[in-house]
Amino acid sequence: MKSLFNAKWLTFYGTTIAFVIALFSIVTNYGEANLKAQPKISGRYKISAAELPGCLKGKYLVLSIEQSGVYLNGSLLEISHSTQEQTASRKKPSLTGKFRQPNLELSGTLRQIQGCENSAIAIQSTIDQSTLKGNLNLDNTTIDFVAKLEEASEAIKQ
Amino acid sequence: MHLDIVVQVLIQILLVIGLSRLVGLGFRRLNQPLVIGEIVAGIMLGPSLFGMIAPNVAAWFFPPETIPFLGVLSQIGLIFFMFLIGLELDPKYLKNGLNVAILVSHVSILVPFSLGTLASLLLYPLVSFDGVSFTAFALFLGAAMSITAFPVLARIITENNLQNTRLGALALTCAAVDDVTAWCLLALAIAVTRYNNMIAAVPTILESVAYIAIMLTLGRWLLKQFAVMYDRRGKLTQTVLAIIYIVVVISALVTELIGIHLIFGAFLVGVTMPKHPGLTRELAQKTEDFVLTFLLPVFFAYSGLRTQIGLLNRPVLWGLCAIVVAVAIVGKYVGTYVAARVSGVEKREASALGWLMNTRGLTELIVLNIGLSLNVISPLLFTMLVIMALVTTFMTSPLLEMIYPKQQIRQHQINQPEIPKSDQYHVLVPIANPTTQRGLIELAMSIAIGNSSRQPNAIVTPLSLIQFDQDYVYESLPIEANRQIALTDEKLQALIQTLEPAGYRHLVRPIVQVDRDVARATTQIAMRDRANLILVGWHRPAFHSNRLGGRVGEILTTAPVDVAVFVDRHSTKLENLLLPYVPNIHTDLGLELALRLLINSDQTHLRILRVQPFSELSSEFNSLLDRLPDRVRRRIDLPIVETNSPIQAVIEASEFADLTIAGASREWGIERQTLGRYTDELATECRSSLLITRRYSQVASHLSAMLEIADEKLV
Repeated sequence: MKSLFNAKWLTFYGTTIAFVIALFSIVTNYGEANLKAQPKISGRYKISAAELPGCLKGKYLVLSIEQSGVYLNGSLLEISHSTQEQTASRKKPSLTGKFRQPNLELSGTLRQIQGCENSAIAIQSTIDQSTLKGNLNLDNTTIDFVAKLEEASEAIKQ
Repeated sequence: MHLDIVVQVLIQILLVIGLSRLVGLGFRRLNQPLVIGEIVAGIMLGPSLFGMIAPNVAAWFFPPETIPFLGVLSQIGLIFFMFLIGLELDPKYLKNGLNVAILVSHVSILVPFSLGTLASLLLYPLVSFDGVSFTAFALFLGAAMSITAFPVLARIITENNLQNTRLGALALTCAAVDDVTAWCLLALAIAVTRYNNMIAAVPTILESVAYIAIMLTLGRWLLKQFAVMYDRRGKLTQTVLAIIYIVVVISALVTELIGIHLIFGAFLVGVTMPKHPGLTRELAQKTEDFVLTFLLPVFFAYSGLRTQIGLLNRPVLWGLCAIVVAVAIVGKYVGTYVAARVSGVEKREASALGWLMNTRGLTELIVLNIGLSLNVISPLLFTMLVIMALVTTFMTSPLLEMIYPKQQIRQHQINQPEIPKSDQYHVLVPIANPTTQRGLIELAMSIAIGNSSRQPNAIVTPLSLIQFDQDYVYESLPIEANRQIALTDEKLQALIQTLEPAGYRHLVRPIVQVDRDVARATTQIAMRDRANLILVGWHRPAFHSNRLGGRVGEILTTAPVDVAVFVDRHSTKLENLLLPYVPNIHTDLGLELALRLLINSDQTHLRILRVQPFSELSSEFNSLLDRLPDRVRRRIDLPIVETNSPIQAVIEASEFADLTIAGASREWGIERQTLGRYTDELATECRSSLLITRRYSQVASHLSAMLEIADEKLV
């Protein structure tokens, strides 16, 4: 093995460090200027709609959204669901989708809602601050809905 | 059912500790570090498995209101674990080739760091949030890619007996440098994340540097007083221990207040503690049991509850995960390999070093959990990086074995032991305790060397294997392993210096090394060094009838070499040998060993006891006796005994023998862990020392060279 003060060795070391610092500066400058990540939208959204279709009729619903950048997971839950059921839904979400500001789409099943276990749902909406506005398609019936983000304290109470 | 939170947390802990031990031990069987199994157990308890299979049951076991309590326990565990990591970082590891190690370790950080930065261009818009600045994200991802886990690496090196090889020494130094550098990088990443830009983080960085400087000067001086106290009392008292723990917690709080993280303060105290051998060992041993068996599994479970492999629910996400894993592996491997090659390390060693440095293990997990808590990485990226940490750690041992097989490690040892010549008669003697197994080595010497005046062409290798049952303890660190090796070697050398004849002591050449599986290692060494015989000692179990359980049974079953099992009744001479004759190959081996003893010593006599119905000697047996020179043949007696109970006759005859040599029964091994009914009974009842022989090779002879020598002597 070679000694510390070998010219080739020092050149290699110096060049590598200079290269990495330069690369880091260029990449971060480019990233800060040109790359935008999605805003955080994860949370529980209380749904209000004129009349929910099919098996959802008469139910009070909450859309729970977990987010990792553009990728979404979530579940449609009844407000009456216990904390344990809500925790279980987070462990195994039944909806997946994507989010590109301001558009959001989620689709999947309604495994957690009694009487709707075999139904398929697709949600398309836009988000404006903490309000979702869009439509919900359940077994080929489409309705419009609005959903508002629950305050943290309210979510805990639920 | 509603339970009190304390009860719920305790139930969780039961589940966590039980499962993590179970899975950890399962991973040990796969030759993987226990800690990887424990991490996997944590993941299994989370939404990736338990939550996936039974979401409602999992939600009952882990309700959200209890998670903060697990979080607190895991933070306490992390603080003390980081203290232990710091404590293990002994400057002695930095002695070997520091200049090369600094280059290799820094380049092995810079390359994955750069690739991580580039990967941020792809990952940031997809899996991050707009509250996180790109710089913080890139810095964090780069730091996560650059980690090498010194604690796991150190144990992989000890397990593979690499600590005294050039490769092992270099890898340890690199990992130690890497550890310190990566923690600094992480501290920088945390500071930048907290303020979301580089400039605002400058005061935090300056405060951190000032604190490190204070700890390394004033702190070091103050902590040195613990060594003085230890020397004065000769032990670590509870009061001193309490003060040390208080210092750890205060330091953790200081770094948290500065704005880096709790763990750095604890780590810094560990690094700064005086590396007084007694104090460090006692402190580590007192701290590690509770931290490693109780608190660390809780941290793994806490981390596992946040790992959600189910989030990778699209092919594109698995693709991203593959990119993350590939960037981490390639970055670390290429960085290490190129730097090592530039430093003049040979290709194969550079390659092995590249894989070793890829070990990320739980150090990575610590980094990722900090990242997730600070929201700089999203749950999805967290899961990808956890998978990367597992893959990179899991692959180390098999890849190392592939590139650097254990058989070849010996050739690269710094103090290379001598390999026996192919024509030398070689007896391998596994020794568990050098102080109580003197008789075993003496018997091996008598069989192999004897006290003939002519220089024998034979060697005896006492093999002492140090086995670590638990792999993540302080004593399994390379420095500690070396200390134990030196201690055992010293005991063996002291024993060898008392062996007679003194002129042949140099033919007893011990091997002392660490190995997890003693039976397997014995077999491997016997094959590698072409041993003719494995001579193993055996104590009759006092409380059960399991005749040959444990290592002796395993060696007998697996070793493709002739084996003799010695039951020592502490007779001091070997003048009267008894061989009960049974016509089978195992007794033939017994005869050959008995004849070696006869040829090697003129004072030895042999009685071959023939008991009806086995009074007729086989033709092989007869031809062997016929080949013997007269001076040997006339010391052999061949009485025939008529009796209804052959075993009883042998037991009675053993009263007058110094050593009874019996072949294993023909049916040995059919019943698991026995040598056959007759030999088992003999093992219990025999009045003299007993040597049970089990032949493997029907071709190999223990006598061919001996008979030539005996013939020459006769002439």
